[in-house]
Amino acid sequence: MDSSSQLLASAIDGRRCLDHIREIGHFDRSLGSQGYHESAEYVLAVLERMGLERNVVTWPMDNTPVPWNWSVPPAWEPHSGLFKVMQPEEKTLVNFFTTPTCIHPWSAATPPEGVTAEIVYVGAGTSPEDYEGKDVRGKIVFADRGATWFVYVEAIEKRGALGYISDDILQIPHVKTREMYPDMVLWYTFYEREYGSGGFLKGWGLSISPRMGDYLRGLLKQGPVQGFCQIDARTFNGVMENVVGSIEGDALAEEEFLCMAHLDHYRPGAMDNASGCSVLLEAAETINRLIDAGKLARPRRSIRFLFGPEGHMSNVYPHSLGANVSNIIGSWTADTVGAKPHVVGGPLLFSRASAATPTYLNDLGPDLLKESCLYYSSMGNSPVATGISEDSIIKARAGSSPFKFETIPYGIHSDNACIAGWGVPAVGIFQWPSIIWHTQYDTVDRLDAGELARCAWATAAVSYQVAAAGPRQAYVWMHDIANHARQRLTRFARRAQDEIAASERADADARLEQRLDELNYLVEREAATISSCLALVSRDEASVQANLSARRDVLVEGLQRAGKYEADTLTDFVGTL
Amino acid sequence: MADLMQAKPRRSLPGLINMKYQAITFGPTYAARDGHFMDRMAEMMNLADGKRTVAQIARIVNYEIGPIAPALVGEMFQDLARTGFVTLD
Repeated sequence: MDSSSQLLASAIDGRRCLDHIREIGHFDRSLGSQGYHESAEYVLAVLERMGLERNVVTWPMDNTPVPWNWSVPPAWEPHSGLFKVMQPEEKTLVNFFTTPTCIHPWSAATPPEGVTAEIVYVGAGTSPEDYEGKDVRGKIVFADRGATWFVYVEAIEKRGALGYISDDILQIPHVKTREMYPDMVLWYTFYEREYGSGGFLKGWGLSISPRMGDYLRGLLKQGPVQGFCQIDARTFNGVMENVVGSIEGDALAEEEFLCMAHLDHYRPGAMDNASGCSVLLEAAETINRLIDAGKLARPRRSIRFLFGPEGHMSNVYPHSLGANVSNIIGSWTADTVGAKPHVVGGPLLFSRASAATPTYLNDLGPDLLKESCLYYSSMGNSPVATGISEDSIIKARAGSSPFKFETIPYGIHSDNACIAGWGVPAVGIFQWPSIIWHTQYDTVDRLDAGELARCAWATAAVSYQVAAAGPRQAYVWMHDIANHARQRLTRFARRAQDEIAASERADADARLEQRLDELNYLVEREAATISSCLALVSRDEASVQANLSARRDVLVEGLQRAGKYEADTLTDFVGTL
Repeated sequence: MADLMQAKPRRSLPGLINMKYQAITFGPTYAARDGHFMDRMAEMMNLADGKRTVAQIARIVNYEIGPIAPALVGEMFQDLARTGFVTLD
């Protein structure tokens, strides 16, 4: 346990996180909108109050090509939206003022007086077959699967529909169903430009609730239905701000550990992702205050806290560094965190880094989440249904209930996935499944000061420890990883034994061959992870590097012996079947 | 196929492919054949450094993301090359 951990835990306060979430949640933070700009101003003002170095990296949002793979859209700002059935009876199905998640971002505006047209039901609406025999040109499409990126293309772009509505809530069996949440209205974004032309979108999309969707299906069974839509929104050439707060390092100030939380999204978007922003702000304030008070030594490396639009900041910022992007030695993203699992339906997840960037963060992150149990009470007494992976933890202080988290492989989860494409070792924390994700129920009352504090502490601890890390820390982490790795190899071999034992005898040899190859792969991966610690001393004296390299060699040799032992045991086991 | 598996993909640009573009462009071909195709392609792009072969990358994503036939990884790389995201040396 690092000596800074307890100090950070004693200073972090989840109630401040809740205050930040309330403030940020005032704004509709659509990309490039006035609300987004004001939320960025808020973050900038908080960083200024803390006394952090600040920087704003801007990028035009004008639909022009960018020198990276993730395209930047035009700016978009919603003002109002209303959808009504007009005939055979008049009834409002959704209204932006009461349900700000209803308009799909980058929807075009209707004429100011609105449009009235026939509603055509197309089933899923995602494939050409759904539209066979149906004329949707100049009409309003009603699709079951509106929360995909295909309905716009099929209904509006290819067939000239005015727009579409959908009551899709992206159901999760047993967790989030239409029956459980009949009034849920999902926020879902368009691909930001026409797929064919690349220009601004010409139609619009609106989400309605399952209750209103069922009502509409009932009407459509009786005969033609006229709908009315009025959307006031603008798509325009704008600019995005990526706000950076910095705690400068000393000896290796040019190197940085980068924390990211996306600032954009619907109003209030408390969990997604005012929560992640609040966690970074609290971590930044706490570390900075403790350094200023002389209780924490200034770290060797700088710590940067980046707030911006999801998927964009993690391209704009590394691009702004040019060749110096390699100075980002690691990254941590916080996105959609801070609720007790029984409230939102899922545990905290730790997302591993890409296999292209083996990193000690894959071990340090879970270790810190386990350690968090020493400082934070847990979920309460309600049970949580979740799959349990081998790296999950059920741990509790006496008298408290367990905290669970799961470790998951690299995937497209948030900005950690994007910046991995720049060669940065990047991990992240998320809570999933989250019932309230992208819905009007994503409000601050669902969040918990204790869980926010846990995430803020983990963010602060990983940031500070990595920024401060030198030879001693590299040595300790190499051994920690080696210890974990041996346990992981053993667990893998035991599972392989069980799998082969349960299989047909005729398949056993082939399965053994597969599992031995996977075991070899795991040894290679763990060895690379141990080696990643050497990056922490890459600017130290040559003798220090040589000593740690020698230690790395010893640990890797031990790991390879452990791998061989498990392989021999597994082979021997199969021979006895 | 043997030649393809020995090819060394190199990404053309840094960063993740816009996931919505990825879904619309590649989803109709791969979503039904690989439930992890979005994550898989992202990781394939990360690993496409011009040094690893398609076969080596297929082995990695098979163990990291989930089981997949190497030939399907090769097919995905061919599509990524056709759309300009990687070159196959």
